[in-house]
Amino acid sequence: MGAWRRSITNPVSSVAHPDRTTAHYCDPVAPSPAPSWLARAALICWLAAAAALACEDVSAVRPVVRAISPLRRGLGISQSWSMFAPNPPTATYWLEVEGRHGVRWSLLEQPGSTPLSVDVRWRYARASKFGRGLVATTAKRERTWLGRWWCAQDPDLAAVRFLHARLPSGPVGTPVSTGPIQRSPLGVHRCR
Amino acid sequence: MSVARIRDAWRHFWWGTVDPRLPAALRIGFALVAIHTHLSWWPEVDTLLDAAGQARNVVAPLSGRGFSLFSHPAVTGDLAQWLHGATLLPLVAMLFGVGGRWPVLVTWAVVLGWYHRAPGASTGGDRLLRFALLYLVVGTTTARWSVDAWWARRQGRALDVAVSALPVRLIQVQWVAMYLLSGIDKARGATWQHGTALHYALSNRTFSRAQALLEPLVESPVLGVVLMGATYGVLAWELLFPALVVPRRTRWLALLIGLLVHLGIGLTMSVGPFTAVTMVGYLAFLDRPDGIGGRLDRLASRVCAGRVQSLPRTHEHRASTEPTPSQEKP
Repeated sequence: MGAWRRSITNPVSSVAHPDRTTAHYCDPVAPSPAPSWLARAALICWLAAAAALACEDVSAVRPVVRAISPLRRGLGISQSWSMFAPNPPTATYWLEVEGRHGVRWSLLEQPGSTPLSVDVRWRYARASKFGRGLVATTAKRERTWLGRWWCAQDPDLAAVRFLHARLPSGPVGTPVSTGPIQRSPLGVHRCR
Repeated sequence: MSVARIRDAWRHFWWGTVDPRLPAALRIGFALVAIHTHLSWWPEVDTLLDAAGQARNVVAPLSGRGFSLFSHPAVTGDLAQWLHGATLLPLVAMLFGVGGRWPVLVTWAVVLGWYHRAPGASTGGDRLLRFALLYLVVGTTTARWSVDAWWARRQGRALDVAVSALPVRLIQVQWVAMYLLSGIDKARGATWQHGTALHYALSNRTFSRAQALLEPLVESPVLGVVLMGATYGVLAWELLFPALVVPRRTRWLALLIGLLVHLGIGLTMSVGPFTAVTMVGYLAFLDRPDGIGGRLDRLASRVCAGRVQSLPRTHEHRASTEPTPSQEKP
């Protein structure tokens, strides 16, 4: 370990690897050539952009975040790591889509909208994540586009409506909640 | 500490060298994760990637996104399936280390393309994978354990004995930042402060792998106390990760707790590629020759010792001008 570290810091020394058993592996470690100014500047810019994205809530940084937002969207480099943060969801929730034929509403088979019916989940269902994203109140435009998609699938559909379905989780030490499922309307999209 | 020493430490950290087996192990690990993620996309190509799928209208009008072959209106039905199959090739090339950094770059573009096509279906694990692939592009990852290295040896060409540490350092810093930022965000949450966060995470049926197995865990008051302790433990570990992982003496502890946490998440919850990506990224912290690289080398040496020793010695570092003691040996 110490020998290996010395080999990094001292370019002249060469230290045989302690696990050396063959000629082709485990050679002494040498220093890299000096980086170009362009590479150094690129690294500094990248770290600065990452730091700005990590502090995007700070008002002083917002102009920088706005300036680099095309880069963030284009490369998908957000530094928001909020899985189960600040709180995990306290309810199982999903998007339900209903279609109207004549006067009768019926449930449409929106992929990923049946989390309660899955006993064992081997594979991550991305359609479920996609649907949960459309439940947000800010996703009105996206729901409209999804409504258009459903209308294009079935020419007989008169309208599509979206529901936010949720099953609240019970507090600690109580039986797992099985119902009732709460449903709140998110809006209606008319096909024609 | 003087300015000169800080400058030297900065340069040593970012622009130093590492054992080439370390980036090679990262390349193989992230390629395996990318391949698994690719295969897991397959059942949902029709719904989300296909040009006529549900993501068609939802994604296309958003500014700054849409960089994906799947965005072309002609890519639908069988063509979408074939295209998805074809995008597996660069991932496999990356796994075997064929073509230098190009397969890594194309793999990054493929993974980025999924995000551009259906950003609403992208997870934190996907984002972490994109970061890791982008970082691997800037370094040399095929100097060992690759078809490129095998071919170079066969041709009698020199192999690098040390490669740029930059990709490894970028991955290390990214992982540290992720845990710290996530920990700070969690520390603001009431459920994390009250110790109930894991209870609610495991109660959520969107993520649960097997509801029947998790129900006793979340219903029992006794196990509820265990979950409360685990909640505080996870929060403390995330906040302390930078302090634990930087010193070598405590690094094993940070990584061991991380392995247990991520294995626990992976076994109980379905959260996409996050578990696998984070654990592969831990390899970046094993930057010592007697770590995983040494063990894999010993294994490789046992397998091909006779053949390797019979080859002529040709691998000298390109920057090295003086023969080293090891090079002088026959």
